[in-house]
Amino acid sequence: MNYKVLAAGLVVVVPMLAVFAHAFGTDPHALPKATVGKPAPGFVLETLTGETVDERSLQDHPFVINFWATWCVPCAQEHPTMLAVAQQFRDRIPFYGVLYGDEKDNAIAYLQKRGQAFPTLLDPSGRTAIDYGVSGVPETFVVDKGRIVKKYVGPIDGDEMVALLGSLR
Amino acid sequence: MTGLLAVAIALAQYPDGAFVAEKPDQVELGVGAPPFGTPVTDEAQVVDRTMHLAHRLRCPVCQGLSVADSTSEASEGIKARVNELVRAGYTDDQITDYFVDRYGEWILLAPPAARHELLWILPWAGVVTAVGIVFWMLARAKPTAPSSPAAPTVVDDAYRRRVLEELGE
Repeated sequence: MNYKVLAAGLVVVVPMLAVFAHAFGTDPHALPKATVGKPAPGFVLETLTGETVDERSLQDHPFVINFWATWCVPCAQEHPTMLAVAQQFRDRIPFYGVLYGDEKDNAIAYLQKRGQAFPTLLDPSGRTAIDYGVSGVPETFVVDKGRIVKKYVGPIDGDEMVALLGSLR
Repeated sequence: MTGLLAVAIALAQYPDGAFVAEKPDQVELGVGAPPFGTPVTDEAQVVDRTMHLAHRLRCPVCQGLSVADSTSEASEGIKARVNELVRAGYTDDQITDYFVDRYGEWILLAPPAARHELLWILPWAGVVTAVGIVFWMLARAKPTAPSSPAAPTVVDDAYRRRVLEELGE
């Protein structure tokens, strides 16, 4: 056996396999979740009905913030699950929707038709969405003790979210 | 770099992040550190810097487009945010760091060389290694014997005399 050829082949092949093995463990389409583990950005936003919600009043409690829009098909798919989870935790964990790139009247009509279980906040400048690193809708953040502990990109997995929220004190 | 320095100074002053809650003007801008520069009032300068930064940031909902080249809702929001921060006196590094904090380095169209030295060094290291290996192999190769005329046969005097005698000379 020509050991030199074998060694040369290994020098080329082993690093390639290592790169592939590393890459196979990641989703190339997955968006980065840079805000997870960091302090939740502050916000002071109005609801569809004109009340003001200040994030600082929520700091000691877990809460869920869901960015959505009426024109977003995955948001419509997610809506029943989100309502069910919010209903299940309505006494313990506040949920907030944030309207993303959409009009207040559209949101009111949409929620009247499909039902609502938590207030929706208006973010006309998109500032809060950028502060949370939102790149599309739906995206949902679970905040506990002032820090983002989980970010869902796309429709939530209801069972997983129930397990996570159930574990928060 | 200056952005990191500003954050370091802010963290040194307020290690638990309390500076966010204690400085209303910073809550307003949501950056978490004071601007390192002075507010910009020259409209042309604001537009130039906004577009310069927008060309460096990736549109979060597009395929390979910069924020400057995109008209998507998300990109328009980011441009407005950049514009706001430029006006307030934040430096280019601070603004870039603000977006990297929220979206990860993925938001930058070009990875910063200072944080990815290997990306720039490895290709050149590979070329140098390959050239070195070629030279090493050439130096180790055994030279093949050159084709040369046969060495003259040594003929002793007794043999020469006998040959001459037989030839009758």
